[in-house]
Amino acid sequence: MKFIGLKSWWNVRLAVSAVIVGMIVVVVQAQPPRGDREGRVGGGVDAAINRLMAYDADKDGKLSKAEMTDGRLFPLWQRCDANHDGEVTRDELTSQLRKEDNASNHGGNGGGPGGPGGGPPGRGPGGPPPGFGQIVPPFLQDDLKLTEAQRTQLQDLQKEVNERLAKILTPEQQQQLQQSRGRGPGGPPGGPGGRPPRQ
Amino acid sequence: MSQSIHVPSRRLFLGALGTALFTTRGLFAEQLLYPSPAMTEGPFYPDKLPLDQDNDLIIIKDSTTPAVGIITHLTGRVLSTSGEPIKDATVEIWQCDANAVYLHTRDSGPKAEQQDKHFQGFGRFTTASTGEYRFRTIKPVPYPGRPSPHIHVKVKRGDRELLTTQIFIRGHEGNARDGVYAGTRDLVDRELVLADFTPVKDSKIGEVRANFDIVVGRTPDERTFQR
Repeated sequence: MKFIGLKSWWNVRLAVSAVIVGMIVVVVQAQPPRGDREGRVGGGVDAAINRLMAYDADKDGKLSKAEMTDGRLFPLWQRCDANHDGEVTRDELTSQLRKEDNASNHGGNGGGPGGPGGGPPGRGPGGPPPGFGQIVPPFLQDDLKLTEAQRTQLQDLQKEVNERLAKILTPEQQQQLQQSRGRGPGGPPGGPGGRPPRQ
Repeated sequence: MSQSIHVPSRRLFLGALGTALFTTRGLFAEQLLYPSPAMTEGPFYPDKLPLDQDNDLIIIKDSTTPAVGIITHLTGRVLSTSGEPIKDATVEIWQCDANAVYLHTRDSGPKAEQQDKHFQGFGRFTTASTGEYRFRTIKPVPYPGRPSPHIHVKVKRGDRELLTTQIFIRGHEGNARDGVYAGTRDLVDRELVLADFTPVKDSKIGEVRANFDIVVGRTPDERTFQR
């Protein structure tokens, strides 16, 4: 009886370990290659259109100059206003954003052997973590609908992980990691940081 | 942001949790600005902060030799997502010098001969009630592996880090090839990290100016609700 009890205890431990490993695998696998991310929450043309159309205060489906209250987005609004009539339609947004998305995708992924340089490896607090070692990628955070408090806690945890990872790897290894991520699967270095303000 | 504003909106938030709030991606009356996206800190936040940490990166202490590079007047405001200026926010910037060397023992160590010893490499500025910040630095240059010139930024308030991000030059040809910039999937976020670097009128030495507002999504008083 005692023996069985011990055995089942081990089974429980095994099962728990398996679940944890499984979760890690899911998180790792859930991070698709760069090319698959289009259209996901937090990326791609559609998401950008939704974020911009949030400024459509009168809900007429067009963005007027007056509605673009965030000056930082004004240059983008101007680029989108193809016919210069002072209003940006969803079609104008779509065609301009698609153009810009394609241009940078081409540059970002198709840089030939040199590839997209890849940035200095992410190490520290605040910034989105490097794709490798990323505990919960931003899009998954969105999917899980984490609260601000949870995101903050996660960010602190990620900070710890990043710092320890930076201590383990040499700068060259970090650079290499960053570059290999630039070419192959794995998340881009700077995940979508800004979500629509919600409160 | 005062508590009297924050508490009701939080109640609203909690009350709306069960409804379609999360699926409705909209801006709310008091939320006018998207937060500046967080971006990687990179490996070269100075491991040893320079003695001179002021907001003039062109001149170290009382030196008479300025840094090499295009002098840039970087200004902007630190704002909340509702557009309110954030007071007492410390803005830190760091970037590589004109010869592409960071002030960090792992970079300026091996590249000691290449380094511009007159560039401060790092600076700090704490905002007053207007939320404005100001730096005199150099126009950023590409770094090996980073075709996109950039200035690293960190915003702190007290012991709390509010944001780490990077400023990029609008229209720079390297942006599309840059792993960090082009790797940012969100097209709106990409826009929020760009600044125009424009010539200062009548400058005889070719100075430029850049304005970059930093919007922090995490409000400084948020932690009072977490404890």
